[in-house]
Amino acid sequence: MPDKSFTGVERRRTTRLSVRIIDRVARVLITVGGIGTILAVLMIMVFLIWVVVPLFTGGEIGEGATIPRSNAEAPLRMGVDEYRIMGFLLLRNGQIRVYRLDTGETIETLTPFADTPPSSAAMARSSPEVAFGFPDGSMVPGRMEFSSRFLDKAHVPAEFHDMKPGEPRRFESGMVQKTPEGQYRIQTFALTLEEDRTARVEPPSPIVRMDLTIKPTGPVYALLTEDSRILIREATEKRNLLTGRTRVTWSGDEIALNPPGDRPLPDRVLLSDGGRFVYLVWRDGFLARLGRVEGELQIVETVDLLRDDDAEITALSFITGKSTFLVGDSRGRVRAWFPVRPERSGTLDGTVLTNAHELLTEDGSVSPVTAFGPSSRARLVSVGYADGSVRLFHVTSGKLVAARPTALAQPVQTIVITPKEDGIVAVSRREIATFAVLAEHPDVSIVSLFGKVWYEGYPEPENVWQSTGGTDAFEPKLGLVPLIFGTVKATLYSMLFGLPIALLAAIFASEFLDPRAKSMVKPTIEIMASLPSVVLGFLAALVIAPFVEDIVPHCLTAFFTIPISLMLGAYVWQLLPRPFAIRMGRFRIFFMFLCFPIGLRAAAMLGPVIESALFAGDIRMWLDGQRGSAFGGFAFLLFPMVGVAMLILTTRGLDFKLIPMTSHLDRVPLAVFDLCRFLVTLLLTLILTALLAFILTRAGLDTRGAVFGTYSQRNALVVGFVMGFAIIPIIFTIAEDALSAVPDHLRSASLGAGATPWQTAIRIVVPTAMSGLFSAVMIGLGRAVGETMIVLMAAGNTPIMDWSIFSGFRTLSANLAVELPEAVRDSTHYRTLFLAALTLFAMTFVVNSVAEVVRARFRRKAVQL
Amino acid sequence: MVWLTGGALVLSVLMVAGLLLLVVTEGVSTFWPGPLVEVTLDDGRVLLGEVNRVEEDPGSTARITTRTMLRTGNFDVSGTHFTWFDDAAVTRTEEPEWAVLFERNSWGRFYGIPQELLIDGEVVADTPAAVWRRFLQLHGPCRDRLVERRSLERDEMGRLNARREEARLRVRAALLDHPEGSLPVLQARENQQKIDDAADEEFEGIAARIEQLDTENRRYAIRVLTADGSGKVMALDEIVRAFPANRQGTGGKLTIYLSRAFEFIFDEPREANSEGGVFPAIVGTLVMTLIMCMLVVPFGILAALYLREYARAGWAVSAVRIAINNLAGVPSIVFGVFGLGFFCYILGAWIDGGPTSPASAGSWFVYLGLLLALLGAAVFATWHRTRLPPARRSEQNFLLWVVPALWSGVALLFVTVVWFSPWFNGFYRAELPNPTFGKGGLLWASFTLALLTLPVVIVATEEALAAVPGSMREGSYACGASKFQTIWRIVLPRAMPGIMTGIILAMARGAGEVAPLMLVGAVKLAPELPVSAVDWSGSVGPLPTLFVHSERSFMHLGFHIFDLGFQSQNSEAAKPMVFTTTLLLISIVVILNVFSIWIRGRLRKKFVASGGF
Repeated sequence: MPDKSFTGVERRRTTRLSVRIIDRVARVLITVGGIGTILAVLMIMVFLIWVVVPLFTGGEIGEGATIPRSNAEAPLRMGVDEYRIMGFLLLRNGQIRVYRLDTGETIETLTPFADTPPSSAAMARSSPEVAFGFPDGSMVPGRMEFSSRFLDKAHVPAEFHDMKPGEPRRFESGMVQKTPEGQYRIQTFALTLEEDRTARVEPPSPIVRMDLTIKPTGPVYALLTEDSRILIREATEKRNLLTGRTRVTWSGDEIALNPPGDRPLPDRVLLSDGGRFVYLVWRDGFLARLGRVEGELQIVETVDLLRDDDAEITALSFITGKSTFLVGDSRGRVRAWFPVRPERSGTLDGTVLTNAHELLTEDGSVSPVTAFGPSSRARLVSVGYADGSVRLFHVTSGKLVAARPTALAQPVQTIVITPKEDGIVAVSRREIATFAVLAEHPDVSIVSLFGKVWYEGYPEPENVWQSTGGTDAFEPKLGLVPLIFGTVKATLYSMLFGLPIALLAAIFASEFLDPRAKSMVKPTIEIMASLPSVVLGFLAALVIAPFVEDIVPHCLTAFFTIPISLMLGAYVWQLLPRPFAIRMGRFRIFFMFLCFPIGLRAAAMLGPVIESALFAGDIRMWLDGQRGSAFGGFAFLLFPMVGVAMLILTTRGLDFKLIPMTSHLDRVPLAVFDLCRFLVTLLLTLILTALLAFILTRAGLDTRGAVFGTYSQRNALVVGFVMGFAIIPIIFTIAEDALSAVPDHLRSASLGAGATPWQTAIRIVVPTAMSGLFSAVMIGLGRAVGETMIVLMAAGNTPIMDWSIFSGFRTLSANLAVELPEAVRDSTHYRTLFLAALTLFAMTFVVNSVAEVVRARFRRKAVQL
Repeated sequence: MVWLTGGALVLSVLMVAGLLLLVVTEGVSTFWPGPLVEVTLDDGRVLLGEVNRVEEDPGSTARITTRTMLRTGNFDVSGTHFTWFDDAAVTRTEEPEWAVLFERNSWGRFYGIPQELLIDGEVVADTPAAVWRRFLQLHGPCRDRLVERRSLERDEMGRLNARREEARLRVRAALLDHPEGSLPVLQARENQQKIDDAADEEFEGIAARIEQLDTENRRYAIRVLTADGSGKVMALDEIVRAFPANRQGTGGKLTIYLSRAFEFIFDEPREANSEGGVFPAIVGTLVMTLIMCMLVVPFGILAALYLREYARAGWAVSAVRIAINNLAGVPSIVFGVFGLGFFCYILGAWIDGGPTSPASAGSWFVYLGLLLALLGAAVFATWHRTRLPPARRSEQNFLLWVVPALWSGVALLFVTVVWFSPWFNGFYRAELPNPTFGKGGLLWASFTLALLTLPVVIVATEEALAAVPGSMREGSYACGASKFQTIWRIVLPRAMPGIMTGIILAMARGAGEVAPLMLVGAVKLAPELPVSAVDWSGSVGPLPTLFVHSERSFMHLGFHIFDLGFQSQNSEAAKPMVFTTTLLLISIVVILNVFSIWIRGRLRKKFVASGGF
């Protein structure tokens, strides 16, 4: 069908249907494919954010399921099983009640000490050990635990066959649940007393307080008797490999306690990890720490936990690892204390108890803290208050993870977190309430990721990245700052080395190099850009690092001798007769080549001299700070700065005086004059440097610990040098393009106005191409920030924060490569690593965007010219 | 100052040249056999081996301050591969004529003088020359038997095990959907029984053959006298290659060199990758790069075509362009993180076991209905828009927004419907909890690298398209060509050199990239190649089909370098291999780069020659 067109002219031919269909299909395909591809690429950022966001969503304490309670007595301790179907309460008279968590029905009641109720009891946190102390001075250890076994369908009575998976039911003396795999899990509670391991206090006295802790070799008990003695009983279990029998030997210590200030018996006795310290705590906040000084148990420190307050301690508990303990008081404050070993301490054993965190309620409520329920896995703690509210805190980050203000009607007597951290069970006089808890990443907040955090055992808050550790009580330390620091350090040192070289080389290539030579040099350098970074990393780690390690002073010296030899070369060149120099102008670059062996040779010769003169004969020991003075470091650092200053002074500064004096000279005498001037400058620089360095050293300053530091084989110097291979070609190519794009008429005008080629290059070409150069630098920066393999292989990967050029570091990218394969999917570590990737993404995105915008501006400007 | 700038350029050139020179010399010289030196020290020790390097000993006070590192091998006897000694302590150095270098399957190299050749425990030759003559006769057949034995063990037995595994998985799959005792389960079990029986039978045959080969090979052994005078009996089949290094002329050395080079390229690694070849790594790199190309080329060109030819120029398109330029500068490791998190853990897990939280059947049908309704609306709106006269401007403008919105809604709903489908249970449910696609593998590595190189291709293609003068397009339209005809016949051919350059550069980048691969599937030692020859009748036929196992982990040249250079236990012995692998990788990358430059020039010339423009 012929179409009517605008002009009214009818089309005489029709487009074939196949062509029209193909056109349509192609249009749809290209549109869909194109948009889809672009979306897919842009999805990356969205996905990274999507993975990271759950880190920052808070926790939640869900609706409670409450069951009534018949006994109003505050239980000594409470426990819940792994599957949240059963719990037990240990009462003061030694009775144990096991009951269902969903209905409150009592499954069984154990009364192991019907005739003599214990006078005290203690229970370990993350293992089933318990111990009971009796008025006759005896102590009976035991184990109290939930255990589960699995049965097949055939071994389960028929009435259970129709159970739904997950539904709990009574079974014999425990509970049964059907697993999704079709097995039956029987859950029972058992208390076994090891009467044969009973220990006795001699002479007998009632045991009024006690605590126990588990060492790898066996349990340790701390007992306080009514007649004011502290006893430590340590059981060492040795297993005979032949008979398989375990033999227990007891050892221990005993001191008579004379509480300071005529105090009564302490209200609580706590035994810290591995039996290191015994804490005696009085209700008014007074704490005495017992430790061993030269094998002798004694009071080594006393602390007022509440700081001269009229409040009272109302709750006290260790958290996992038994190093940190929490103090809750009648004003609703929760404080975390742990021992640290600062450099100076006023105590006998060098350890000081420190209040590191204070856990604050969200609304400033001041209801007394009544119970702590620490998790056995992480530094998460549930806190019960007298007003019936329940809160969930993370101790290290000090974060209030979740709160439920009116969880119970009465004061909370006891609270526990379930073993899987998915629920809280709280007990009051009248009720037992179970709450579901959602706290996936309680330890992470913006502050903990990007700020200093006070970790257990550290003398002060620090930025630390340490994601895995040896023991169960290890706490992952996920501070990104050391990694960002490493990235910045790698970028800085590599740019410091690569940037001047790349830019100067670009200037030479575009302004001074013979076109034929340029057509060879440029592709060579571009090939350098395509070298896989793994190759560079391997060379850095296995060839350059060991090589540099042996000749550190030579390398440092080469940084000066090569430029100096080049400058000398320039002055010598001027000495050449003019016709010869002009004829050889094209081959000038080959003479420049010659300067390198000369410079290197000079470095090799001067290196040992400088080492013995400035660095006390051995640079490694000097760097360690073992010998030598700060003079050498300053001399080394100041030399280039003073040199540049002097050079400017003797040329620019004195030109107005010198030019009239020398303008009448011929070429060769002028060149001699210049050479002399350069040598004088060099001499002056040396003298001035020495003077300044001397003054600074006298002032008591030292470069070691800042720019210099202990030498490690894989260090910033090596990385900076090798990363140069990666960034020089990129910067060079883009910068050279930008310089070459400057139109020739500008150059001609400048030369025509009498400027030298160098003046033209620096005052005309470079400023014109400035935005292009800037964008080249930014793109080089982007590459340096994200480079992975080189830093992974050559930087040592220790996440320390130290500016020293001789120390290693760990960058964001290397950290991802090392740790992500081992991170458990969706764990806090995994998401934090994704945050690291996002940080890296954002850093390069910003840098590249700036470069892009500048480049667009440059293009517009170039068009105008 | 000019000299300083020149110096900077010279330094850059020197850096490249030095680096290339280092890699080339070290890489090329790796396989060249050096002389074997016997050194007697003043404490009576006698060492035999190859000189590894000589260096200045800082702690030495003697007259001669250098010390030498000798590769003494014999790890199973001495417990060390290398020995340092002070040159000052040397009393005698010689090159024994019959010192032989043995390269073995395990324990590294062995240096010694052949003493006796044993057949069935009886000495049949007892002078080095005689032993050597017999050794040359017997070694070849012994190796052949070992090769056959290995192929039986790996290929044949591997095939049997694969069949058994498949039958076992079938039973598991049947059990997932049907109760125990039902017909499909019984059938699967019966099938498993049948396959097991058949496999057992075949297995016995193969085992008998292996035993036969082993018995034959056990007959031959060689006794070698080490430098310190102790003897060592080695089975002949343990020895990969042996030669009396000091008796070789240049021709002999060249033969050894070529034999080693051949092994390097076409054989598998041994000795924790520090000896042998890199064939699996070459195959892995090649296959991955090819798959990556197959993904990146069409999509990259589509995206560029859309951006340059179809999209309406505006702020949105320039924003997208800046974003894509930016992505080209995003660190590769970030792509690796994305690949691991999205491809492996989400997409792969979905392919393996279906959705983790599928929609209920009811809500799924609601979604399906919604999808169909939306699809209808979108189709109608699109059709309506084409029929709308241009005069109805407001309606046109309205539809301009509505149509894309509707289509994106359709796309979104489609993904949702597929993703949460309760009817899909995963393709590899029987294998769970062992992931099939839910871990790093060839496919995901290729996907990741494709994403990584996509911006490169898009940018290059776009620039090439932009360089085609608008007048050519207009000319084509004026002749009555449709838009697609214009693109296909005029624009694309003219832009081809630029596109090709982009693709080759992307390939070079993909082949050399390691960081993301560490996360998404490159491994230090893959038990099987990611490609295999498959004939569907079950045996390897004469004209095999290549089958790509896209879920398998693979070896990669770059990762191989990283692993050898960084994580190898015996890094000193691995160093020559790293250099050679490096040389190989650099050659590939540089050749690709040079090729791209060459093809650009050639195609440009072709256009000029054809007088096109």
